[in-house]
Amino acid sequence: MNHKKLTVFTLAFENIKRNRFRSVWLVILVAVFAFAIFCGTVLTGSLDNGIKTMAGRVGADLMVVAQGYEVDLEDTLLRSEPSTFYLDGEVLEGVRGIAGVEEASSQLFIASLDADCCTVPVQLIGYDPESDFTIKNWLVNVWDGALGQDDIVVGSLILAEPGDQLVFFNKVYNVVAKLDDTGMGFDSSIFMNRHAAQVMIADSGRLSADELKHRDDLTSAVMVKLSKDADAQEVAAAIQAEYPQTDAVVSSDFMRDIASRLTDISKLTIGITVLLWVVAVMVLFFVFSIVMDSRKKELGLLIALGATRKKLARIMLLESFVITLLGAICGIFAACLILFPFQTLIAGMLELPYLLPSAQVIFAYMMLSLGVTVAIGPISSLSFIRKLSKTDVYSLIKEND
Amino acid sequence: MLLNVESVSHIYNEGKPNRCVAVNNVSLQVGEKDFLCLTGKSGCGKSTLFHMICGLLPPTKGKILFQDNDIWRQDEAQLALMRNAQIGYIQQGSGLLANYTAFDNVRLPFFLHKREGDGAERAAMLLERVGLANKAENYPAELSGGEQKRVAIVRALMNDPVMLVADEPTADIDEESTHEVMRFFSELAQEGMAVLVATHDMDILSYANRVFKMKAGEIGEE
Repeated sequence: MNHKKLTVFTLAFENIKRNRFRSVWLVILVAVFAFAIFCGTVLTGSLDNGIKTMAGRVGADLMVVAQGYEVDLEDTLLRSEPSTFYLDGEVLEGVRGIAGVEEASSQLFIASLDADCCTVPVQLIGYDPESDFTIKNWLVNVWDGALGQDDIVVGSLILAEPGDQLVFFNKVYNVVAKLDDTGMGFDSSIFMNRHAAQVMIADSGRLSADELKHRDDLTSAVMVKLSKDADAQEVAAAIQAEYPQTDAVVSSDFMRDIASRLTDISKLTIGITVLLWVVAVMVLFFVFSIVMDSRKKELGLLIALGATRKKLARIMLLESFVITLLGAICGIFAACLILFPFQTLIAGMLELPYLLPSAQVIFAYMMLSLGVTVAIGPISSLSFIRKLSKTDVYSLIKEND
Repeated sequence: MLLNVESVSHIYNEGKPNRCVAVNNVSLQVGEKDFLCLTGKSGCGKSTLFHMICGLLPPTKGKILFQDNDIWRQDEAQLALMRNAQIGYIQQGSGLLANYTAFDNVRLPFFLHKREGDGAERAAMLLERVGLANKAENYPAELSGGEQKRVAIVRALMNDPVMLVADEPTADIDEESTHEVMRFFSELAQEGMAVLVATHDMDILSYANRVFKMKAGEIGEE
């Protein structure tokens, strides 16, 4: 007969193999908790990251929109809910003349109902490359060319790459660049030359010929950069006094207000995640302790045969380590299968700035989730073996008799 | 003297209302080749005495000298080594580990302390000796009660101990198997091993060369 040596490894694996039902359920339980804590941590981290990067992405000190359209602007910037709203084009020139305004540039928002890149409507944003000071600041990281009439720059979530072509309202546009993630509505937006956007509106037949005749300077929002010593509130008041049909939104207030609401949500998700971690640790510790407790007789028999408690600890540690490692890997792998391929869907469902942290941070979350879930089994085993050393072997052997 | 039990007592739940004196001031000497039977009704203290002798339960009073060493003055590692190499213990019931085959159950004690080899040859020889060579790869659940008991017996002999302690080894096996087991113990005693058997089966006492009766935790005259 050819028999393998009985080592701590073979004994532990034999125990796992022979108690398949118990082992599989433990693996599933660990996997569920690893899944939950990793998902919770990544979601919380992504929301936090989205909120932190949000303010820096707007780039303007003031935003002027048609009166009552502040909510639409928030929808466009944060939640990628496509909107189409206009104000009088003359506002741009007027705003440029107001004291305290250093630069002003108009943007035109178009909600596209269909496009071959996307299964949902996308937000088209026309901007003036000449006067723009918001978009080009972050566009310069990926592309520094001049935006032609048929060129478009796509947000990170648009399914197109530089060199591809996309069709909007029966016209072909060339994708010249793709932006990095922002966690905001910009990720699902397409940027184009403002004039090209105007033509697109005309082609779409969205406005009547009569309307268009008088509105070749269509504008959705005027982005304003203030001079150094200008007071945002005063300039906003001056704009609204000059153009009562507009809302001049102070970016810092606007973002602070949004950030404050989002921070409350973020705090809630952090709280839920912390609770999840605590519950996961407690439940896993409890379950492993129950499993160990049910094995008192087996452990007593091993001691009676001459096993030291150190040897027992090694067998039990290995067994619980294998189970928790397997469970944690399965759980985290399952979480990855959902978190990363479906991040657009998740962001859409949350309707919040959702920006996955960097790969290093995600890896750290992964290691933390893995470390904690993997550690629980061995820690509860060690704690049980410690407790066992205070019990005489006779009582252990008599267990369940 | 191989084993010297000196005025040993064990009291369960000492200091509590349900205090119980299981073994009361027992003294006993066992030498090599002794085949000693300890008889008495269930609950008279036989198992408790055997557990103390095997280093599984500390006495409340008295001391137990094994090969002139007070076993309860040894540290955990020494005690574990004594249980593993010097004393073969057969507990009530089968006491087999359900996750390992009969063969692995038998050679398990061999691996609990550092030794050269894999113990396969001796395990096979021992199973052969009790007629279970063909059941080596069976798990305990696949063996009859008598077969499980025989596996437990040879497992206790795996490391060639100098003393075998068997607690009710024939309690759950048929008459024919009972006599087989007792004949096997006689052979072991003749080969030089000290054999201690706790039983309430009066029919098997004739195999022993020394018989003690235990009653209410106290041991009677030989």
